[in-house]
Amino acid sequence: MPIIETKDLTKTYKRYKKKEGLRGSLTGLFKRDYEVKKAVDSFNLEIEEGEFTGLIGPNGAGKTTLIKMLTGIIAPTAGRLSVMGFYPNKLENAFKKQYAVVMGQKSQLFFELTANDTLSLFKEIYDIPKPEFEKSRDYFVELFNVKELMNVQVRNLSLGERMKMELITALLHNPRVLFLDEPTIGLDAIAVKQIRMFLKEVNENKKTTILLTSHYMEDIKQLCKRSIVINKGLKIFDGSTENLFNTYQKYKILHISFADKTNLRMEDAQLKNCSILENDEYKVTLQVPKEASSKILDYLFKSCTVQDITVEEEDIGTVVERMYS
Amino acid sequence: MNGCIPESPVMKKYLELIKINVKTQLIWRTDAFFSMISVCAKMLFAYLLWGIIFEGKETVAGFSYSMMISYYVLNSFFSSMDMSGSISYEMDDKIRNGSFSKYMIIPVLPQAYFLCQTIGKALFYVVFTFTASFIWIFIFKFDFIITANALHVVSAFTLLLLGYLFMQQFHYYLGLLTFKFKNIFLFLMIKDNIFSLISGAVIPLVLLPHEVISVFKFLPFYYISYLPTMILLGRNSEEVPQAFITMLLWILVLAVVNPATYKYYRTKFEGAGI
Repeated sequence: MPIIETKDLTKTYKRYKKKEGLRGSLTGLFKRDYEVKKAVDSFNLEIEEGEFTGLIGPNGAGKTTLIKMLTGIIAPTAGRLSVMGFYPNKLENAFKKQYAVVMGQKSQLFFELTANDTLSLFKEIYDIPKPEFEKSRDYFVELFNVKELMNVQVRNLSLGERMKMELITALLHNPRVLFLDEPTIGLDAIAVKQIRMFLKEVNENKKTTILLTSHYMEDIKQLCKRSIVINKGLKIFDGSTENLFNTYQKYKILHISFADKTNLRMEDAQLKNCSILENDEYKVTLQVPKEASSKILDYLFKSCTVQDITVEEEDIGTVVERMYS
Repeated sequence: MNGCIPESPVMKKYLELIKINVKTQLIWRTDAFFSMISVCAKMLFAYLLWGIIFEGKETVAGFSYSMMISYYVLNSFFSSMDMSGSISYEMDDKIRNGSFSKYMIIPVLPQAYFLCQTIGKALFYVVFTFTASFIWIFIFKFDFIITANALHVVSAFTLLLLGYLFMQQFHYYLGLLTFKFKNIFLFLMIKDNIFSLISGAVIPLVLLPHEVISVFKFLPFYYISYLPTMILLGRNSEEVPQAFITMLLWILVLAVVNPATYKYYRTKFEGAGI
């Protein structure tokens, strides 16, 4: 039986259509027009226990709304919904004790106090026996290598360190399901790498079911075997992450800086399938077919005086746009 | 077990919440200092104002000068102990920016969470405001008038606790209105003004017309700090039974209304864009 199950799950909300200008504002005092927007539309989903699933979509696609419905923060407008056999919006304690949610921009930590203070509180909130609490805390503290940070005021921690503390706090009661909404947003490369390693370990060792939303393709690629793509509230892809990227991520973006003035000859055979996104005499940004990228790099190194080169994946928005079209 | 008192997991959970809020308050030293200053300033203002009013008079509206100042010391102290006012503002802010969800996803009742927060803050401030009040009485060396009747003292303090509980429920209710109205500042402004008048924080209510006071007696605010203060001064003790009945009724009403309102509004809440 799936641990998370939705059937025709829908969330609509009313949006005030404010007319522009002072006159529009004054008219709005007496009469308001609303439009109904579907944030999530007839969404069907089945996730098995232990899965690590990525939820991808551009801004406003409905990802966070879906997570909020799955965690009970908001109620669906229509459709069926079950998480571990519970209807989330009932907000029963028995349900809340079995899941955790970490939202990149929202914190459970007490900024004036230390992470250890918050953990002591959560020990009581989740009624965790002392030996279990200590075992769990020590495990995560070691995994993240944050022992020396546990007694530092949270407000004095870096963004990456704070996110690690958020994750430890969320996982302290050993939840069956972990919802993550943009956990790596704004973090540096080292922190992102550590968090990915941590999540992978938790999923593999503790068999925690994880549903992750992220704007970073690398998060999804490295962590999730399965990906779900959502756009305008509709599910447009549900399958293996490998398949998703092989099918829809067709290009790579190359940012190349030259030591000398360089004019690329795009009519050359090696560059004929590339498009220029940005160009000046010392710097060029190219969109190149994924399968040809190594040959193109090779050609560029041989034919130009390359000073620096960065290879980027296409962003989620572009991939979703391609899928949608 | 803690000593001889068995602690249930629920009790331990809420005790830890109170504890963490005391710890949070202990970080803010400047806050503590200024809360002491504000209590002193309020009392100094009363000392000067009533000094002028009492010039050449023995009593005003049945109050001697010492009794009037005692009224101000007690009322200022009791009013400053009510830390629940920030609940509405905090809820308003957190519901609008979406961070209220942090209370919804943990196995704690949001109202109980805010109650513990209020108790935690009050425990911290009680030390500082009590010290401020005590120093003030000592400096000005005036006759502090308080009843010797133990029953009246117990009644007054019990009423005070009921009053604080009611205020916590009431501010929580106002905060819940953010789910519906998105912005509750106007409600809070109206509440602050009405409360200042009815609670006797501006002037002793005996100075108001009898008919006005009769209406106030149906409202809980009259019993929050005004009546306990008057009882401690040895007056109005005949109102104790009515005070208990009124307060318990209001507390009961909000004990039913608050969970129902929370459930109703949160299920209707769209939460768009947060």
